[in-house]
This record gives sequence, C-alpha cells and structure tokens, in this order.
Amino acid sequence: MKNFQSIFFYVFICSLILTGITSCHDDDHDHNDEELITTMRYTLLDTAGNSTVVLIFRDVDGDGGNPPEFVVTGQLKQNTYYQGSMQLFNDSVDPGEDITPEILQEGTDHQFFYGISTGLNMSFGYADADANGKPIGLKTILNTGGASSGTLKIILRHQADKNAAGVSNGNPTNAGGETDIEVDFVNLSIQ
Amino acid sequence: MRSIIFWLLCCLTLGLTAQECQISIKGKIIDPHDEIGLQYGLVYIEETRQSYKTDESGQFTIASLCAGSYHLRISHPGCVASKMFLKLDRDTFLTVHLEHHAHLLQTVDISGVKAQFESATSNTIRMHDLTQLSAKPLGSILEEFSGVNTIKNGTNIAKPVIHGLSGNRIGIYNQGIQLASQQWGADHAPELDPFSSQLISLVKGTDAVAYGGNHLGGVVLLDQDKIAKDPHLHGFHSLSYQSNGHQLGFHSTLERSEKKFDWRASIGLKAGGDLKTPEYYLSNTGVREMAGSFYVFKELKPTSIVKNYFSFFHTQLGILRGSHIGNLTDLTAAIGRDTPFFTKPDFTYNIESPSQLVSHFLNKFSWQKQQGSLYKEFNLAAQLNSREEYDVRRKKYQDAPSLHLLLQSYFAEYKIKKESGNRHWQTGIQQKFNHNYNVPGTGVSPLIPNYSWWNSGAFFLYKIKKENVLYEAGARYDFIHYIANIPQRSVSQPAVIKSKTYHNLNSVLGISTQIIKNWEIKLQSGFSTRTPEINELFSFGLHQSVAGIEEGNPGLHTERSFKTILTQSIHGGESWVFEISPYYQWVQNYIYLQPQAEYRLTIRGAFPVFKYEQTDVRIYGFDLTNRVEIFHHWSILNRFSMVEILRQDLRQILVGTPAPQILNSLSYHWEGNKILIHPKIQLTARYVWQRKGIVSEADFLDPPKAYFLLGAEFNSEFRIFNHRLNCILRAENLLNHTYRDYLNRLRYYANDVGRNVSVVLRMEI
Repeated sequence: MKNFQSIFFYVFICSLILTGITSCHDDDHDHNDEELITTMRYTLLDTAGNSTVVLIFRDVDGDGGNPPEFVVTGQLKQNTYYQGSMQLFNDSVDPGEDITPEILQEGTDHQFFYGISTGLNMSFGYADADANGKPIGLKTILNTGGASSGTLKIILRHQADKNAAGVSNGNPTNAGGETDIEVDFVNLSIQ
Repeated sequence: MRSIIFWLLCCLTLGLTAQECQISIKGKIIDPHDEIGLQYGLVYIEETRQSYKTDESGQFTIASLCAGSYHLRISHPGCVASKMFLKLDRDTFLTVHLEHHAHLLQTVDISGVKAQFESATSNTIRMHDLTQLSAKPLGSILEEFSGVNTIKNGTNIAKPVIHGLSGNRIGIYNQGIQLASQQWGADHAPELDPFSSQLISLVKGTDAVAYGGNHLGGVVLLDQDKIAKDPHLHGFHSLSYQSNGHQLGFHSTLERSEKKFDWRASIGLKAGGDLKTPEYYLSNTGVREMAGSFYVFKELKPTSIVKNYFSFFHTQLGILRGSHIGNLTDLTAAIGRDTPFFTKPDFTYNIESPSQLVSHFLNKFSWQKQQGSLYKEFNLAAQLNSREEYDVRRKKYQDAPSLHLLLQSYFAEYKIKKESGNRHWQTGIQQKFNHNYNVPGTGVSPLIPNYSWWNSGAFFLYKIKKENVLYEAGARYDFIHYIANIPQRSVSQPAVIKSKTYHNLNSVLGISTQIIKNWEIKLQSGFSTRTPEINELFSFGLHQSVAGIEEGNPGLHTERSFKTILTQSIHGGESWVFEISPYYQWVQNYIYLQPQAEYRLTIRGAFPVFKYEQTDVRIYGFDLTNRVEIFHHWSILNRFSMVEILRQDLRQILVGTPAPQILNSLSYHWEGNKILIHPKIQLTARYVWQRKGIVSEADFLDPPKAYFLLGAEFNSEFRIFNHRLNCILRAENLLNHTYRDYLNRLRYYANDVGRNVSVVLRMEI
C-alpha cells in the first residue's frame, strides 16, 4: 500500500508542476500577424501638381490564402517629373496600421530599390536619407521619358549593407539582408 | 567502440583468521570467451596507491593488506577499466572477467534483458567507457553506431538519421520516456544532454515495439546505469575546450549509495562562440547549454524498487546569420556567394537573432516489483518543452519570438515481463497525452496549430530459445487521436476544430542463430506503421528555411512499412570480427514534401508551394563493420554504410537520402608507464561520397562534392596524487579541408567547419 501512496504522490507532483506553468486556453485571437506588411502604396505626384498616379499592392490575408491585388490609378505621362512617396500598411489587423513611420524611424536598417525594366523609359533617384546620409527610398523622384511600357520592381530590404558597391545608387545586387517586399508592377505604361 | 564488463566475484576463505595487515588478495583476470588469463593486466588499489601486474596466466597477488574497505580498479590495455569496492576482512580470491575483446563486438545489448534474449539488432554504448566521446553532442555519439548519419543545421543542431530515416520516424527515449518535443522540424535538435545518461542504445529490431509505434527507422534509448553499492562519493568531473568556437564545457556526475537510497546527480554546462570554416567565421553560430539531472533509486523490499529521474535542459543556439533569408531572390543570392552575407571578420561569443531558446523538463517515476520470474513495472512521466525561435525583425518586434511553442506531455505505462528457462515474454499498456500550445505574443500566424494528441497503446513480445536458435515475435497496437485548433487566414473567421483518428499496427518477427561457432546469422522482419505528424497534417504558412509556403494535408494516410534486416557476424579467432547487415524496407504512403508547380504571390514575391504528398518508396542499403586486433596493440576499424531511398513511381532518389560513407581508423595502444597509463593513439579517416541520383529540379542546389576528413586522437590516463586524470587530445578535420555536407542544411549558404582541436580532462573521484 505504501507503494501506491508514493505513486499517487508523484502523479500529484508531476501534474502540479506542469499545470502550474501552463494554463491552457485555446484562443487564437492573439495570433494576428502584427508585423505583416499587407499593403504598399506608391504615390507619384506630377511636379506641376495637377495629376497623381497611385500604384497599390494589397494582400490583406497575408502569405498564401487569397491572391493579392494590384491597383494602378492614373496614367504616367511622357517626359514628366514625379515626386514619389511610399507608404506601407498592415491591414490584417483592425484598425489597420501605418508602418511607414516605423520604417522611417529605422531608416538605417531599411532601403527601397526601384528596378526599371529595359523596356520602360524611366529613371529614378532617391530623395531622402537616413541618419548616415544613405538613401531609404520612402521619398523618390521619377523622371519619365518617351512612350513605353515595362515592369517596375519595388524591393524593400531589411538590414541591407548600404555601404556595399552600388547599393546607394539603387542596385540591390550586393545589398544582402532580408527581402521584406518584392513586388512587380508589370505592363506599366507611359503615354 | 564499446565494451562490457562482466563481474564474477568468488570470495573464498583461504585462512581461518587473518592477522592485522596480513591479509592478501589473490586473483585472476580472465577473458570470458575462452577463460584464458590476461597478461599485462593491472590492479590498482586506490587506498594504498599501489598497482600490481598480472603474470602470463593472468594472476595477481596483493599481500600485506590491512582489514578495511578498498576501491580496486582493474585494467588491461585495449580493455575498459573496471572498478570494484571491497570490504576486506580475510584473505580473498577474486576472479575478474574483463571483456578483453569487448571493443570488437557491436551487437550485444546489456541493458534490460539477459544476454541470451538479446534482440538481434540492438547495440549499446556505455558512455563512461568511451572517454573519446566526451564533450560530443548526441548526434556525433550516435554516429558510433553503423548505419547512423546526422542531419545538421550548422554544427550545434544535429538529429540522428537511422537507415535513411529521421524526424519522428525514429524515437528518442530518455529513461524509457519518449522525448516530447517539436521533432517535426529538421532544425530542432533533441533536447537532452547525453552525458546525463550512462547507456545509449540503438534498437532496430523487435524490442522497439515495447516503446512506440511510429518508429520506422529505429529507436534510440538513453538510460541510467546501476549505481554501485558503494558508500563513498564517486563520479567524475570533466572539463573540455574546443578550439573551433572556443567552446568551453564542464560536466560533473556524482553518485553515492546511502543507507536508505542510492542517488546520482549530474550537471553540464557549455558555452561556445562563432565557429569557423577554413576561410571565414560562421557568424552567429554560438551555443549556450545547461543541463542537469537527479536520479534516486530506492529498494523498498529486496523484490521491489522505486526510482525517480528528473532532468532539465536549457539551450540557446545561434543560427548562421547569413542563412536567414526573406524570399527566393535572397536564397539565390545567398547560394551564389563565396562568403555568406553578414559574415563578421572577428570571433564573438554573442548570440543574436536568428536564434533558438529551448527548455525541456522531464520527471519520471518508476516502480518495479519482482515476483519469482515475473517482473512488474509501472512508470509515470511528465514533460514540458518550450521552444522559442527568434528571427531578424523590425525593432518593435525584436524581443518577441516568431515562434513560441509550449508542449506538455504525460505518460503512464504498466508492463509485465517474465523470464523462465528458455522463454521470455513481455506485455504492457501505455497511455500518452500531449498538448501543444502557441504562446501568444509572437505577432506571427503560427505554423503549427494548437493541438491535443492521445495515444493508447498495447504491446506483446515473445522470445524463445531452442537449442541454438532464438525466435522472437512482437506486436503492437496504437490508437491515436488528434484534435487541432486551426486558425483561419482571415481575421474575421473563427478557428476551426479538426480531428483525426488512426489505428496503427506493428508486428515483427526475428530469428537468430549461430550456424557454426564463429558465424552468427540474425534475421528480422517487421511490419510497422507511422501516423502523420502534426506538421504534415496541419501546418500552414511560410517556412523560411525552405523558402516556400508549406501546406499540410489533412487527408494523409498512415505510412506502412515492411522491413527486413539480415545481420551476419563472422568472428575469426579472437581478434577479428566482420559484420555485414543488408536491409530492405518498403514503405507505402511515404510522406514527403513535394514542390508544386504553382507559385504563390506574396508581398515578398512569388514563393514555391510545398505540399505533403505520399508515394511508395523502397529503402535499401547495407552496413559493414570490420574490426581487427593485431599483436595486442594495434587495432583497425573499417565501417562502411550506404542507403538509397528510391521513389517507386518516378524511379528517383528522394531528396535528403544520405550519401555513402566509409570510416577507417587505426589505433595503437600500449601499457605505458607509471605516469602514462594505457595510452592510445588513433588516426581516423572518413570519406563521404557525393550523393548521386538527385534530379536537379528537386532541390535548390546540387549535392556537394565528395570529401575526405582526417582526424587524430591521443588518449591516456595520468595518475596525479591519488586521482586518475584522463586526458584526451583530439583533432577533427585535421587538414582544415573545405567541404560541405549534403545532410547539413546550411550547405546552401556556407562551408562546413574547419579544423577543431579539443582537449578533454576528466577526473575520476
């Protein structure tokens, strides 16, 4: 009988130790993707101030699930200077969160790259700088040429090496880091 | 290398009354195989600090001892030393059976049942005997068994692969309790300290059915050795240093037999920094580890005992910074580089993100009772496993883990064993319950859902020895039930509860016989099943390490396997053993991760989709071991293993199939002198072939080239004051060769580690 007493004693101890540490509630409401970037909005304002072009990428349910949507409003015009401004949001949480200030704050850790395909007659330049004087890419200048069409690839890298060759000029090849955003706007046309 | 020591102690009264300090011990050291006395043996008495040699017939005489307690240590070159405690009050005659050729034998199990009921395919390593294993991780220790490879993620994360199978296709049992952890992840190392245990066994045969059902590949057992009935405090302390990563380690085990109970306690600490390839540092590959255990053994009556084992394990592991990628573009860029991104020019002990922080607790209580030849056992266990994985994130989330899982596991079993004459049977029932919980606060959708898992099992094992033949049969049934709480991708939708039930059957038949005196044959055939793992059923999300979106498949069926192993051992005289074991395994519904044709577009670009699918595979290969001892001083070991996992439908080799490899070692051991006792020098050469037959579309990178590694070791015992100090000097990758290993997941990003020189000092007390 003494054996059984000690057995029960141990059952009691074992269960006490573990249930004390964990209390199991199976609610998953806390498992939102708080860090997710669901929406990218690139707004191009004609320097004359009379027209805007907005490029939007939106994937509210995050990776996988429903396919993302691309929205392009307005029309890029020939031989025009545009001021570009980039905004990022997390729309998977309610209310949606503007992530742009966070990126700006951690400017030294982030950089946008704008890759223009050969067909697209366009050039771009950075119009902002982080604490070290290196570009972030939240503010840009776009200069369109003649009528053409092609792809604009927008990349956001986290912890890229901004001192590597070509990186400050907008070439991601040697940048390293993790890609947080890589979105292609295909068949973008300049008329 | 392994060895066994058999004790046979015959105390014969030679004199009627011994005068004070006139007592003598006479004795003989013999080889149990041929009863031949062993020359060059050494008997050392710790109390008097005297040693005595054996003569040509293996005999020794120790005269003029006072009455009292003595600790004797009996050793022989090439054998593992053996200890004994003696209360001397009269002249005594000792017969010591030292397993001289122990290191020649592989296939004997000493834990559990008696030698005559040894399962045909189980091997045991006695940790204490193998000083050369000091400070090595479990993965490397298991590589001492033929047919075992390791999947690695860097160096500190290593998981065993037995006959080509890994993950939850093999079971790891700590003190008879299945390690409850997140074994679905290839980058999740087993959460235990191998040095908290003294016996490590690998079971590929019938005995495996007594443990669990899912283990198609085999079972690894870690157990406690008996605590010697010695009223003095004994144990060892060891200090180790590894040049690569400047890793420092400390381990201490102490044990004592008290009046009312026996106990053993161990503690281990480890701290290392960035490892280095021949060319560059592997930045952020440091490690911290702290582990401990406490084991109590109490005899209630001569026929019943209770035992309790408690252990904890904490580790923090750095993951190579350059292997942390955001998308396919990053992966391609990382693969194409000579030096990984984020490689720092200097060494550091710091661990930053990405990293893992893992804790594990185990408590096991056991009650055993013997009634004649009937042996009853009742076990209870509880485990808690916490896994936190940290990624490189925006500062706001930097301190929060991206994955935080808490797994509780409870286990109860009742077993009965009976041994009578030439028969042995064993039966038992088991109940397991696991609960997995995603701790909130990660800010990331969980890859693995919250779930509960029930497993009720029953098994029966029967062995009979008739004349020269041992027949074995075993069967097992498992009821498995999952309830998972699957979160939905859309914010507004509530989680969905899904459940799955499986009924699993395992059975195995074995026959072993000695055809002629020096030729043994063992044949085992078994049918076993494996339930799909939780990640295979329900995982969903971006799996960074595969740069893909992983989707579980709730429709998966049970894997069914039929495996046959044929082991042949030939003993040529006393100094040669040759063993070859070919095997063939057919697995129906083998679960694997299949890259799909579709790419899924995300904000980080398009990701390939991986889905769990099933197909039939054939696994075949063989292990070969050859050990020769020449002139009592030289020994040679050759070990070769190869395995192929072939997809039946496509006639293709499955990704992750280990490459063939051969290990050759040559060692020289001699008697030494008063300072250097039984020193040994060993040279090891390992050649690993390139993995062939993988179609290039199946993986991001082709298998790496073949490589050759040279290692060397010097191992000796020193006597300093009254303590024995064991010193091991070891060099791995002696030539500082640059290579990549196919089973190392970091091979996409970086070279494997370069030269590593380690020093281990071990003091016995």
